[in-house]
Amino acid sequence: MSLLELKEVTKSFGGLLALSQVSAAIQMGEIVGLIGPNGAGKTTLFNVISGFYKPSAGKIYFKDKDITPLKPFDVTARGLTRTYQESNLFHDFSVEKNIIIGCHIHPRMGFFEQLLRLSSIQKKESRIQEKVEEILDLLEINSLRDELAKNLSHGHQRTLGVAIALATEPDLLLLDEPFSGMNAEETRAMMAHILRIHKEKKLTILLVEHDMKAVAGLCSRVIVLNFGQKIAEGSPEEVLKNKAVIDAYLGVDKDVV
Amino acid sequence: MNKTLSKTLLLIAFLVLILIFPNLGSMHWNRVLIEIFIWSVVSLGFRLILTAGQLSLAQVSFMGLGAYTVAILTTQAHLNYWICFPLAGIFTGFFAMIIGYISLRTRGIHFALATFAISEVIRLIWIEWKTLFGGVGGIPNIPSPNPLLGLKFGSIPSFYYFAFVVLFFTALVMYRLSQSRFGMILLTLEKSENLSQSVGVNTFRYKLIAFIAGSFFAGLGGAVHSTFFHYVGPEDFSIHQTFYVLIYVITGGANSIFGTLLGVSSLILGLKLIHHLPNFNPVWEPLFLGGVLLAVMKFKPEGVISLLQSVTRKNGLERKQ
Repeated sequence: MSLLELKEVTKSFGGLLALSQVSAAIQMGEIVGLIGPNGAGKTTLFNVISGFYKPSAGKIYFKDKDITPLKPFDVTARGLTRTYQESNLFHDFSVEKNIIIGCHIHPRMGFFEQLLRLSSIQKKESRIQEKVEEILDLLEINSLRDELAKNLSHGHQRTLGVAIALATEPDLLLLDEPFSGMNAEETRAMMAHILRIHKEKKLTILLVEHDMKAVAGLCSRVIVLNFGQKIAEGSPEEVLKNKAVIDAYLGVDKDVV
Repeated sequence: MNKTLSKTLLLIAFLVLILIFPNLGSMHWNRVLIEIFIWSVVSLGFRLILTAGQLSLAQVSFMGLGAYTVAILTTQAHLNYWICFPLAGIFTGFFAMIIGYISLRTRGIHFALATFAISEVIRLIWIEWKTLFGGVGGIPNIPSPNPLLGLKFGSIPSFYYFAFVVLFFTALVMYRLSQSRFGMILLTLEKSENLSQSVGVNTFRYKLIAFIAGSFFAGLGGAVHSTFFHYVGPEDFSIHQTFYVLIYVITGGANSIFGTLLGVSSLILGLKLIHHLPNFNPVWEPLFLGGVLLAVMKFKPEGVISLLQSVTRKNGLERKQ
């Protein structure tokens, strides 16, 4: 059973075809890379999967259920969480509070439950605190817990983005360019984090990335998009030798002749 | 001294002062304080909606809904005030739910304009539907609250305590919410709505709940207002009163409950002092508030409370060193 299945997903903005009949499947426990030149439709595909865009045609199945019509918060509640390309955080809150907000669905708290501080709330709050500690330790940002998100370094901001996503207890994590703008050291640290959460949380991961070294180091399988179409799929080594992929990145070599 | 301890002591001293005030101040100042309590309740509701990133220009119209609910139910249906009082809040909240369900699909200036339009519609209905709402003349002769548990509310000191209890209850609810995860999430809706959705927050629902709760307190404030003045009329709840509330909240500091209370009390006191000036002209009211607003925007855009906040922060730093 595949965890996520895309069936001929198409998305057009007016006359522009951003995604054209993309089909793909992601199995439980995989780390899959999604690559392609700028404008290939990678982020659009992320937005479609996570419910921010509705596809013009096609279906998306998650855990064998059709999630195509769901709103983003419902998609998250089913166990599919995304991160963002830019540092999209709760900037005016501390690192700790960012993660507390991330715990919104696990556990849920009702309005009156919080207003009246019913007896159930203490148990939930201590559960949240446990989760926060665990995530802070897992991603090695415990020393920054009281720092405001907006004051963090770029690398730590991206780590916090992953931490917030982890707090939603996803089964499938979509990472949108987790290494962008990072130096070599930060990239290495982030790769280690991703591998660790993959192993310890038994997370399936789909990531968009430009850094081919990182993709080759992390992913067991790679999907290549170009102009909204899937042009190749396979292990990183295979894909990088693929003629269509080389053409997509470097241009067709007819000019050379 | 411990910071929380000194804060608690200050709060207790303040509460004691409020509680013994009816025995110290004159009748006139008692009435002024009651007005401050009423507008504080309405302003705290307004602030709750504001923290969710929405500017509701119908807040005072909703206060009017509560006031008219009490007026009609007590003068025409002759219901006991203590039944009407919660009903006023609940009815206003229910009305806000319907309005919010439609208008909260918009945001920012669009939502503000939608609520502005609704407030005008409500005012015109009060004016035109004369049999029910009494037209421009409003509804007079609203009785004082019925005696409750042996307490009578006809006199000013006892009414003063009633209004204060309503404010205390409101502030307590607001404080609880601000300390909860619910309150935290409200604060994320303006700047990071997408991310909030990504962590599973039904952002529309949060905005709707904030709008309902804020309007509920507008209704409660109105319910106190109508029985205090024994009268409701459309001009008491016109849009310019909403702008007054907006100025109170911004002047005090919208990011804090205490700031809001500070803004309401200081500006209403200011307005009352202006009334005592020789040759008082009602035009001075908006002139005064407009001047205050300009000064706050220029020098302390975060509100007067930010002065206090920066002072306590500085003290904290010194202590650390």
